[in-house]
Amino acid sequence: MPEEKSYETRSVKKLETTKLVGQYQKEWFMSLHSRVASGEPFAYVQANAPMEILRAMDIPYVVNQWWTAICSAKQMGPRFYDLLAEAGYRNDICSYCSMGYAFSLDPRPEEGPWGGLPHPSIVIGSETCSSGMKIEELMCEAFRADFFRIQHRHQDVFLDNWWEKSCDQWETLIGKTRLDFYEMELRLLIEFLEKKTGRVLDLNRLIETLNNVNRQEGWYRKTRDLIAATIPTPVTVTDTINSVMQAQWHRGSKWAADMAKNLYDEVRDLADRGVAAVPNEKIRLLWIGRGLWFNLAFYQYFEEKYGAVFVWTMYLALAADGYIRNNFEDNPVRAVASRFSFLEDILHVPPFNSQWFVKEAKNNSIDGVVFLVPENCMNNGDFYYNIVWSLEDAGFPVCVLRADPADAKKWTQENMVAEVENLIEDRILKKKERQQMQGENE
Amino acid sequence: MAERNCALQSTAYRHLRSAFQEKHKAAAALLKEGKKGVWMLGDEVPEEIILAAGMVPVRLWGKSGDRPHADTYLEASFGAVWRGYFESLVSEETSRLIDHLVLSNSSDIIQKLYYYLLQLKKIEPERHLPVPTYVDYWLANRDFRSQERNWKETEKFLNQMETWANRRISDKDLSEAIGLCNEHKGALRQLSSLRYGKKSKITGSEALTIVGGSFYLDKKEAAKLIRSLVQEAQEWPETQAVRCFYTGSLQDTPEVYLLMEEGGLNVVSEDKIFGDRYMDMDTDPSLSPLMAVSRRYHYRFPGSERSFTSDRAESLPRRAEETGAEGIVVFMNKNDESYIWDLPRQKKELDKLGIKVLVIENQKYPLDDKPGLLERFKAFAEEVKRGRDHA
Ligand code: SF4
Ligand code: SF4
Repeated sequence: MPEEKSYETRSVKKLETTKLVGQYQKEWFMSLHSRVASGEPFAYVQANAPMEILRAMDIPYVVNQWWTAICSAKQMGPRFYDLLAEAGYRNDICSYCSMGYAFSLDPRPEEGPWGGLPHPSIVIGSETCSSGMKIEELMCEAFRADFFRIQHRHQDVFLDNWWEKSCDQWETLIGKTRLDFYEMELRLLIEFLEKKTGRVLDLNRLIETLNNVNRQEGWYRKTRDLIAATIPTPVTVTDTINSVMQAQWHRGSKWAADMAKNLYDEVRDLADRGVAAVPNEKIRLLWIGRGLWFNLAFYQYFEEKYGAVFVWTMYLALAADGYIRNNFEDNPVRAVASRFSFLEDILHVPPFNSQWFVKEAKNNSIDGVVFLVPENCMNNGDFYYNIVWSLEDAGFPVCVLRADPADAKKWTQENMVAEVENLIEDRILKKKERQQMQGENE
Repeated sequence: MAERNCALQSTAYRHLRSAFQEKHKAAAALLKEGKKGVWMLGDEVPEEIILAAGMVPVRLWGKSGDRPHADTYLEASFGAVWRGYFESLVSEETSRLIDHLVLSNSSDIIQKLYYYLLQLKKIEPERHLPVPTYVDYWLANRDFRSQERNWKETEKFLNQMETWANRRISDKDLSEAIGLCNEHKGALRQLSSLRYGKKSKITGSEALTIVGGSFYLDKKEAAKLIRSLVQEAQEWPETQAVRCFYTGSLQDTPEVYLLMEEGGLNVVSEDKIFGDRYMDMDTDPSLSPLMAVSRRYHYRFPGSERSFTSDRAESLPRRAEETGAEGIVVFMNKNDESYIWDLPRQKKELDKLGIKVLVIENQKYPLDDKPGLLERFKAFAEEVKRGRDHA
């Protein structure tokens, strides 16, 4: 049973696209059951997995983080984490990565969101952390699936302003050694998938898929830029987060690209009509970290009292900057490799992460940053000192929330609210007052 | 049990012990006459190649006491061991000794430290920070692609060492270095054989001190001292404590082992670098030297951080049985608890062998509840003994 909450955890969904995407997602999950029942392969993968390959091979897949977000939004986290405890594991660590495994232990999977998840026939592992790779293996065995483990290789080229190079100069950005390596991994994966499923990766389909990705992410780029340039913002992160994420999981399909365009059209229309998401917008906030799926309403909590609006999360911005790959026709697999290998680095490796956050904070006229540091992740390490230092140095005050982004049981609403209120009152508003006084004196 | 007089009366032991306790001094002595030191962080840095290049491999040690830099720069998710290493790298006292640093892909946290160091050098250029290099072995699988990758990675590392040393490394250089390292490991294996089984003559804390001390001495000298110590130790009394296999967070000081000994437990083996994992296999002299080095790091006992649960469920109980352990102690620092994911599966295998498990989680640095820990060690020792009586 979903947990009762003493605070509001639902967010308002006002965009048509969000509704469309939500509907599609539900139907997609329902159809997944029949596809799997009729003997189709089904893959369970990580967020950084080369989904374009699965898409082009028409192998349905669910992403671990996607499923976590769904279970978490449905307030079902506690049920699954208790299953881990029953199996002899701890239920207070690795919540973000262990939902899939926890689910695999459920004796009544049909009670999961939308009739639960069918058991996958393939698991593609790509976690790099000690716990994550173990969880992947355990989950794979519990599902009795075939396992393909993608190896990892560190980044050894560190160019500034990666977003200026990721679309066209991805070869230079990632570096030859690493790209050669990941290209080979993906080729092994393709062979594995062809053998396991009897399906063939059609080169033309792959190119088509990559074109769809570029189209989709291109619309996100326009949407991100539009939101950044429009004050007051026509939409907040709660309005876009679901629509972007859910369509992102279907990346490479025509439907997903259409949804991205829909989203843009809607936001454009709101902007053109001068509709403000929060009419009294006074403060623009940027959220760093995983989405608070079980409590999306948190993002709206500060709107009424302060006119403080979350206008930025990584989801839309990463879509805008992280995925587009041009000039891929010579070697589409290599282009996928360049995206797959670099995606996590954007968020976790300095200076890629810190430079990007600063750029985005500037472009979005941000007044302050809320940075969620996951408490129960032993592998959390984005060099947060450097991120905070870079942002503060560039004039953006930062508040750090230490919390678990997936497990509602451990969220302390009052403390978290207080932290953000302190940021707003002690730093942002005071800074604004100072600036105003300076302006008056000049 | 405190340190035993029999050990303390041994000249060889005292020598190794003082190298271990005064690492600074010992390292400085190793680097005398302008020898170039290459500092190592991680279990999989091929020290043979560093030696072959005419440089000195020095194992980085974690700084004990306050760790203000770690507290400032690192996320809470970095467990105590990593914080100690970072503190050493950044604090004045050690950092001025370190010009060259190699990190190995023995844990994701080390990879993060590599990235952090590169960035810290940029944002705080005034600090004396080494230029790090990274050995990116793949350890979780032993298939062809991993073998080939690690072999190439070893070659890349060799080229890097040639650049640092500004000289070529010949096969002969490498074979000699391999011989030297094998001699050291061979001596340590003789020592280890005195730890195993019912007639264990060396305690865990003594072994840790000896292995750790030998890292900060010239390898030849270390091997000689260890062999002489092994001779003496034949006469040392057998420990009567409950025999344990240790896994979990790295212990680079004997504090926890000593506490276990006080509680009636003795560590007879471990899967840690300051212990049996360091010397569990030789670098095969019959292979081409580069291949031999690559295999040594790839094929040794699987460490938990880079292994699947299936490998660990297979290898750890077997190893525990081979060394005569009656119990396993899994000791985890806060935020260094990935071992948790190995456990239920391992337990099934251990149950079959009648080996009991003590799981200690959430440990802080410095230890914040020594009496409580001692009680748990004592209770575990009693539990195992009761099992013995039943058997
Ligand atoms: S340590 Fe963090 S990244 Fe690794 S599995 Fe756990 S939650 Fe995931
Ligand atoms: S073990 Fe025996 S011989 Fe060794 S110090 Fe203790 S009492 Fe003396």
